[in-house]
Amino acid sequence: MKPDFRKTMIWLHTYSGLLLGWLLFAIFVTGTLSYFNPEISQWMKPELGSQRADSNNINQSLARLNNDAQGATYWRINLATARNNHLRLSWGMPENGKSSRHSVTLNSKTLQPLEIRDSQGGNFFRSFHYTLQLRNYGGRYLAGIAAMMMLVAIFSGIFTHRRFFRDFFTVRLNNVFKTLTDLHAVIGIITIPFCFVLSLSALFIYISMYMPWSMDHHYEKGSRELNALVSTSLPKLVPAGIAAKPLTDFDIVLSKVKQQWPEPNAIKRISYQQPFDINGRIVVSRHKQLSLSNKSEVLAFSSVDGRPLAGVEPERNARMLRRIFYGLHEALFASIGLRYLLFFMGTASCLLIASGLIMWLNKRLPKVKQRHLGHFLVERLNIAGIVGLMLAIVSYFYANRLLDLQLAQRAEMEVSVFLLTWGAVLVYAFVRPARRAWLELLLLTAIAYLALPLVDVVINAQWLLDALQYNNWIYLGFDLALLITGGLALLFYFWLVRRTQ
Amino acid sequence: MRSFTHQQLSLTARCLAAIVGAYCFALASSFGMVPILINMFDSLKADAVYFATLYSYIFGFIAIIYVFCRRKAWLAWRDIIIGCTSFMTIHFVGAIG
Repeated sequence: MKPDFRKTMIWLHTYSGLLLGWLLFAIFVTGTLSYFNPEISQWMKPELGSQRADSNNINQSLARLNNDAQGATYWRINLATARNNHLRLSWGMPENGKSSRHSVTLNSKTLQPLEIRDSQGGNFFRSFHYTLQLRNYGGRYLAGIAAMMMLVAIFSGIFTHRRFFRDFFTVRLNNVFKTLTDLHAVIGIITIPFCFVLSLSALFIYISMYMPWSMDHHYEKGSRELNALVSTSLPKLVPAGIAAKPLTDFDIVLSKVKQQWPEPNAIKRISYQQPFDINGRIVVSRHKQLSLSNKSEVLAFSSVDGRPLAGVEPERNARMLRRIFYGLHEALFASIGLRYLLFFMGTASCLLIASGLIMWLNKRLPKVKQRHLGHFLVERLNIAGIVGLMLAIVSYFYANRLLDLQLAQRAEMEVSVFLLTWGAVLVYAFVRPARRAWLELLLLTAIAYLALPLVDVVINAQWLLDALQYNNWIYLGFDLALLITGGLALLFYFWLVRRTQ
Repeated sequence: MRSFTHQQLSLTARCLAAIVGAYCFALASSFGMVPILINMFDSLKADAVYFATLYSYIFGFIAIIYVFCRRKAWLAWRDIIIGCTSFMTIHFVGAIG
């Protein structure tokens, strides 16, 4: 290796990118989808319906809990949000010393119980994003290594571009590979801050897994003890053993909450802890729109008369720093415009990684006389990793609509369909000639995305009609997103057919 | 032929340094930074351990870039070892004092 700094950086960029490129692509695609996790879940659980409550339904929910869950150890109301029409009540009943969990999902307008299909919804993408479906087999360590590699690739990538500005303003559209190279340079520059913050915060989230040694040395119980020292929470609730009736008129508490949190729909969750005890407590959690930190702001009130109780102290700086990075990573604070911007940045990063992987191959293939195994592997893995993932994602949505609702372990079956489709594409990519495999799979992907809204209407047209009637833009937006993705894939297909003859 | 194998050996040594060495350096920094933060920045012990662990990624990252930029692979390894040793020395001295 030559000790020239720039050459070293180019080499480092090439091989750190190549080695973990496919993994990074999968992580970035599923992570980008996770920006719309509640919306995806809403589409995948169409039983939730498009009708929204026009006034707050807290008191009706409390009446229902008071009726169904007398003597419970806790009540919890997860309110429907603008992003997901999911109103869920849950409670725990004391049962020989422990508490058994119950829950029911209600229509947020009529408050009738709903049968929801068994599906992980958008949460599957969220958990795949960092566990790679290998939670107990080191998936999170792999994701951490990928994040570190991404940082290395970003840093070395900056030095790969000598002509920063000239590259930025050049896009040659007449040749596929030149277009790709220029696209890679442009997107690379645009996404530097995005990728940097995301990769660094990813590493910060799992410090206790990736770098536990110092904590384990300094504290007997390691990260758990350290976290307890720097975090703050509500004081521990000790039941007095004196029975009391819980407050079922929430307006008393609501007016106090409104004084502290003036924004509309500030409340995300209401928990009653020990509602039938005189020491019982109501904990109201705020939506995270106004806070970078991933810690929910909470207010506490007495569950007997609604008087305010002691709240949570601010946390130590070190803990807050990590929480803010965590919050930046999840981006729950983002309002709709910012969320679309982040989604756009995520999509751009996926294109960046994909174009980088394809460039590696196409820079080398015309120059070599005898192809070796590496070229073959990269060529095939590109197909399976890029188009294969797109196809696997849409197959997950198809499974959600087409699998029988009564199936045992239905949610796991949906995930299996995702993995099996991906595996099938991998096999297909290895047996077909490369160009044919690219084009055929791309066409199939385009058709699959374009046909899904149609399939949805054929299965149950009422969902779409309701969404249109009640202006449910979450549902309609998801359908639109499918059509746009399919349309782009189709355009790309025709462009490739024309340009690569 | 000889130079080719030499180059391969150098590359392997560097990659190992980037993976194993950089992690060890980050690990050492998560120990060594604790006394530094406590004594020079008046941190509480809990804060110091927490920050030292967070900062360790930065040291690891620097080490990865560094080992590929050093003129000779063995120099990269030597510097990693010096870095680890100094951080661990600070840690042990801090533990005594």
